[in-house]
Amino acid sequence: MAEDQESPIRPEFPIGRVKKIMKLDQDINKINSEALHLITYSTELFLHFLAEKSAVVAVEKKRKTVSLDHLRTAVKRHQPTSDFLLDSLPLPSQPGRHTKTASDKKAPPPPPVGTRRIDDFFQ
Amino acid sequence: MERGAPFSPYQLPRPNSGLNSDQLSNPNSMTSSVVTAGGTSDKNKGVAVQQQPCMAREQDQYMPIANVIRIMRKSLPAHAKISDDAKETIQECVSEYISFVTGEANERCQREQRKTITAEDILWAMSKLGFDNYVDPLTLYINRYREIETDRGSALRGEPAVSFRQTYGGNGIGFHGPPHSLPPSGPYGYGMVDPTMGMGGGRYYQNGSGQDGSGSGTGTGGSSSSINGMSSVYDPYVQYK
Repeated sequence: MAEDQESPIRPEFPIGRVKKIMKLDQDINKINSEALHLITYSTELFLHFLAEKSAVVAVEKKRKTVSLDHLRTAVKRHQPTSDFLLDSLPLPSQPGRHTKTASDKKAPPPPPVGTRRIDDFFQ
Repeated sequence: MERGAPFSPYQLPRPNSGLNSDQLSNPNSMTSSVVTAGGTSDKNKGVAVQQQPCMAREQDQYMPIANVIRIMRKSLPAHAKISDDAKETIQECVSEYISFVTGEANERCQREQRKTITAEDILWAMSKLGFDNYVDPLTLYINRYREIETDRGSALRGEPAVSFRQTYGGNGIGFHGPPHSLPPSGPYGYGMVDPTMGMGGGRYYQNGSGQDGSGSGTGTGGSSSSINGMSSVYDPYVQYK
């Protein structure tokens, strides 16, 4: 049937991953399946919210690329989100988790332990 | 593979995949393979071994970035781009959010000396944390979810089921189904069909070849999607009188 092309409630996010994230907290015991679906869906709502608000900020600043700063401004503007999220955002000067390649372009990686500068051989 | 060449965690598991053929059956093999590789491979000595387990845990605690980006794109203008650091940060934000809400819900559970977090706990936590604008769409969602679950049993008996999308008033947040605004009028009880909706949102019009009374699977049997017969749409109500 055409209406069965996708089941009526199919979360966009992998529920298993949501559960794993919840379980990272040792205090969490069991989670009802309904609760799990609710969290998954609410996370989608939250993500939509973040994306929309960040896009608004980007447009205000006449940029086509949504950047971290836009995100930060968007978070600040919404009090509940700001309360729990602002501290988690990386500081402007801090590199992100995966900017290893980016930072490598700016500065050479630290030499492996035990290496010596080649000049040392000539002293 | 820390050999002076920059690497990203996304690349990291692949070179090691050959070492972990037994891990491939695990859907989250990326993480487990990385952890194993760090321990068993002699090639990855020194700094690399210490970093790999950390990376594995990092990936596990975030939502997959592909999903994150896909959902974001629905809310962003078509031409908009997202910087890489913003993508990653949003990934972290999403996980923070999950942990935050779950933690609150769990506290309530523990206060009431229950062990299982329920949907009500989540809704309560949302409201307490200031996300009460989510409570309404979430309530609708969970009601439909419950109906769907009960419908699964009744569908086997050939009764028409309530299509989830009919009664979900699009509030602009953009559920992943085809978002549309419905006038929230009329009693949306079990089996009630909104005359303006067919079996499923945008696909309503594809079933113009009236499939009256087919009622297969979870289809809204009597409420056929035939556009031509609007008068016939009220037929399903007959069953419930």
